Amino acid sequence: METTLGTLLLVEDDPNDVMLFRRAKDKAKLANPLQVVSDGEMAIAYLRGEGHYADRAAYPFPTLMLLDLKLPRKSGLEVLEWLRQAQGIHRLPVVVMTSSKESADVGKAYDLGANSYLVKPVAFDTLLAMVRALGMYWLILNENPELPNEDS
Amino acid sequence: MKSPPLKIALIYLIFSIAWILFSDRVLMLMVTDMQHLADWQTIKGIVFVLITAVLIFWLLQRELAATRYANATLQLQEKRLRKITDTISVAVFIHRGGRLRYVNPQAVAYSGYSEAALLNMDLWDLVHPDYRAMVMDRSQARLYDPGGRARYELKMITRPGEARWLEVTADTIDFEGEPAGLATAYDITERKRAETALRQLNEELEARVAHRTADLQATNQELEAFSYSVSHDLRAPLRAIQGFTQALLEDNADQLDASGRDFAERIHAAANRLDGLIQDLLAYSRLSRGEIRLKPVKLDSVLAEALAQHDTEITDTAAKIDVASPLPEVIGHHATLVQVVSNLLSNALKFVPPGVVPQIRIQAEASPDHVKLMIADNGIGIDPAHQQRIFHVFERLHGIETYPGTGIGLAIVNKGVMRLGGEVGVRSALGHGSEFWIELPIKGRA
Repeated sequence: METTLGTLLLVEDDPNDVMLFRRAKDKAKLANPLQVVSDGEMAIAYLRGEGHYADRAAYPFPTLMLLDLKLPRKSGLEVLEWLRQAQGIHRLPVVVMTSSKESADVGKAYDLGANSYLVKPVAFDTLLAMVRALGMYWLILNENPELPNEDS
Repeated sequence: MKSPPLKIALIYLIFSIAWILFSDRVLMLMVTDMQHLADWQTIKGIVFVLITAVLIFWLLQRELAATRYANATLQLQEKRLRKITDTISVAVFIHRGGRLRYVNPQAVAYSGYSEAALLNMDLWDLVHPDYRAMVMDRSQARLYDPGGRARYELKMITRPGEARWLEVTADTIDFEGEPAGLATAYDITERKRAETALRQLNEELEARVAHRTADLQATNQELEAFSYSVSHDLRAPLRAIQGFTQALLEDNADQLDASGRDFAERIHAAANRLDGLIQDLLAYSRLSRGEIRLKPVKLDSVLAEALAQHDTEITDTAAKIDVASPLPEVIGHHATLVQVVSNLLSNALKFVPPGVVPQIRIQAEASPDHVKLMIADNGIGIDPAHQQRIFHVFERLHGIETYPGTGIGLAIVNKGVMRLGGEVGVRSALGHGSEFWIELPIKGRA
């Protein structure tokens, strides 16, 4: 039942961070498919199913979005603000995953409806532990809301 | 009391009646010879005339002397008054209905007109147009109701057309038998100029302060932007260095020889150290900038949290930690205190001679308005010569190889305690351990 595994959407502009995340995900044996977009506008296009993202077989609507805050074109906070207003998909769980520990960013992210806020660790082992916990909590334990992928 | 002529006439009248009443009777008693009575009568008449003549002369003479004296006094007073009005550095104008009737030399000096010219002018010809209506109104009003003394500032125009500030005191005076307007004035142009200069200076200063404040705010924002980008952008490549070196060591270990692995491990360790440095710097800058709201904090929970952060080290070193609980409550900021205590614990655990098990004793001492928290260790101690330096940023007493660290830990302690309105210090001798203490208020400060 490959198809029952929810897709993870990673919004991250740093290819190194993407690679490290992939490695951590593989090491954590997280089998969920991973889709990556590298800026805020692409994230919105993906969620809307615009352009080639209209093909939901290739680009399924995600079960969880991992969102960096500092992104080109549209910031993570803007994406979050748009998402929480968007019809039908506004309940998508969002875990902010960023470098900033600034309390202003943390507060703003929660104000805009982030479900969790994680700071990217420098040590890979810490990242690995974080990805393991993330997969366990958000993809296994957590009861997710109904989202468009179920009816498409 | 009465006019002198009346006085003289009265004295004459009283004397004459008295003479008439008494002289005849005295004559009757003294003279029995009727024949000589007529002669005595004549003599009596002549004596009367002589005495009254002397009396009248003497009385008149006295009156005249008094009048002369009064005149002389008056003249002297007038001379004195003139001397005063001539020398005084206040301008005096006397006018009736505006037309000038008297001016003193200072008035001439202020106005630049001659005395003769001034006495042909109206008072308001000297007044700056801005104040002319006011002066005219006031002068006219004075004709009907003297009012009393009034003081005001106005601008006058001198003959050369220069504007001068005067402080004027206006009143009513009797002049040549009729009420007239009196205006005394002195030049306050310099004072006004100084006031204007001062005001301008103040305005300039305020503008400069506002400008500086804006500059400072901009600098502060820049600093915030800087520390944001330090936390975000500097750490991103660091994650890559750390992560991929580890990947290299794990995934490609069989392709690396011993020195290759050593290199990769060194890169890995250096990246970790750089991360610690950046995190400490950020913590330090956050402590300087962040808003701290003081409230009661339980030192027990602060210590529990700080100890939890060093769980691994405590287990690894088998450190013995002795806490004299319960610890009292202080006024502070929980997160800042956790950071402070955690840094002190980290040092106590770290700076021990090789092979020695760290022994740390934590206790508190309460005084009426302060609590002193002491963290004593059995470490290598600090030479008294260095005890001041260690609280400054980037001060390190040991090589990275011996005792790793960023040199920011105690600077964070110092800054944190200072922001909480407390004090920090150390008692130590080389080779005999150290006791760091922080002193914090128990009561909030108004």
